[in-house]
Amino acid sequence: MSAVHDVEIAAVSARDELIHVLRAAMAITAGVWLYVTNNPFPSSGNALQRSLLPFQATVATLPSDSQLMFRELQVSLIEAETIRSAEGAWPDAARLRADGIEPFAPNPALKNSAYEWAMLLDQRIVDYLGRPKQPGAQAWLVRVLEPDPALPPEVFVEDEEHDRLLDGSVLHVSIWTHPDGAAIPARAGPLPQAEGWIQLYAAGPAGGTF
Amino acid sequence: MTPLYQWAASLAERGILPSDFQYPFLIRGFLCVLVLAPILGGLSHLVVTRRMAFFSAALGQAALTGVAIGLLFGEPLNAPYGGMFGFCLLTTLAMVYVKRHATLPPDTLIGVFHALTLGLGLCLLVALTRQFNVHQVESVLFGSLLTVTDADLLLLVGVGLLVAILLVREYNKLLLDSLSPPLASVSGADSAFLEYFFAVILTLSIVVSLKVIGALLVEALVVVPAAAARNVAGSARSYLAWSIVVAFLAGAGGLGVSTKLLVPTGGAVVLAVSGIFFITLAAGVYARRRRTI
Repeated sequence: MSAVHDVEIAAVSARDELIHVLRAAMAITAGVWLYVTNNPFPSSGNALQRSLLPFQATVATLPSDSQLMFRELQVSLIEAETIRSAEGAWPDAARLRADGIEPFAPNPALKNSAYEWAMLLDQRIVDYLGRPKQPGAQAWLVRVLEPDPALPPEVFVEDEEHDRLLDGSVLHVSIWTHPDGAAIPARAGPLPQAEGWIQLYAAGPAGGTF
Repeated sequence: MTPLYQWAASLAERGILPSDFQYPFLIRGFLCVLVLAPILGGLSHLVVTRRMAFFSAALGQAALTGVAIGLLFGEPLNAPYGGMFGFCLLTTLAMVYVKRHATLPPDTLIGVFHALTLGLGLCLLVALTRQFNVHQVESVLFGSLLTVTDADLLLLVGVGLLVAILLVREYNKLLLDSLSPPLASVSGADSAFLEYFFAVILTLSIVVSLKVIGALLVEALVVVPAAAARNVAGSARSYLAWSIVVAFLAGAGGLGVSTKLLVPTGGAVVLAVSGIFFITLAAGVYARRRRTI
């Protein structure tokens, strides 16, 4: 049987503890400062690159053909919105092609420009999906989200992701590309980024209100 | 990592894995859950025993402020780790020091820090809206697998290993100190050191899990697994084992729900872990009744 013995517990003084804590805090601050000034993450270049999530990209980083396609899709979206405002319905891909609106009407200046375009409606989501005819080429998607009539009207924000119809309805719009056009399903899901689509920006996600 | 994703995709094509595993983000998410479950599950029973649930909530929200500070210092939106680690570690040191030396109850003091960091974070986020679309920060608040990158996964594995090694080294002392600080001191453990030590490894674990679970919800995964385990565990060892199992089931289940229903991962994981808690609660009550009959 072991003998009972006294143990003296010497607690560190509050002053010494504070000094230890301050030293640790200074070491943490210095470490973070070194890290931030030598940030190893590749996307830390300019302000635009820093504001993007992994499934987003700026069109300036794409080849010139893709940049041209992006611009054409931006313009064709405005044309489609004009028809939607005037006629109350979104034009299908055949109508846009017949009207000579590129890229629905083939642009001879674009290499690999053979695409099969389709307009797909799913409740409030309107998709213009371009599937490449050549294997290995990228696919394109223009997605428009119509306003929910059950909700109060949304405040319009002047940026790449919002457009307005003539009646004042605010649309959410986005342009996406998929590097492997042969692998995409016939219809993009509610979250295109979950299926490998990359959302493209010309100027990046704009600052919004909180 | 690409060969791993291709291999998993080929298994998914052959029907060996669920079809969702053709997407790299889901494989990354599953690997994150595999790493997070033992870390957070392993820590959770100590969090509950040391009564640090509110401390964990305050840390999760401090991370939001850390994100804002990181972005203000020029870090990328997708990896503001300098700001998060730095601010959370400093907040942790301050909270533990004040808690140890102030005469106010610990929950009151943590409440003060909680309010301070949240207020600061909101002000900084509003200032940030000049540079960033604040919706982009939602993934940090609620967790999103789609924003988890290979670099995040590697960081998670690295920190997970570090935390596991440190935890195994000091586990017995920590457990004794959690149950009885005077007894731990008599046995030679430095109670003050252990308090700071545990708070720091908890902070590291919370910060690396934020992108998957989210700042607002991370508290749940460091508290509820232990609470659920306590309903069914019969010993300290089974308490630890059950905590890890519950964290894994909740993580994997939440991941599946989040992928199928397209809801934020953090919310789905928290719903899953809460569901498991109520199941174990019922199972515990049933087992006790059977023993008394």
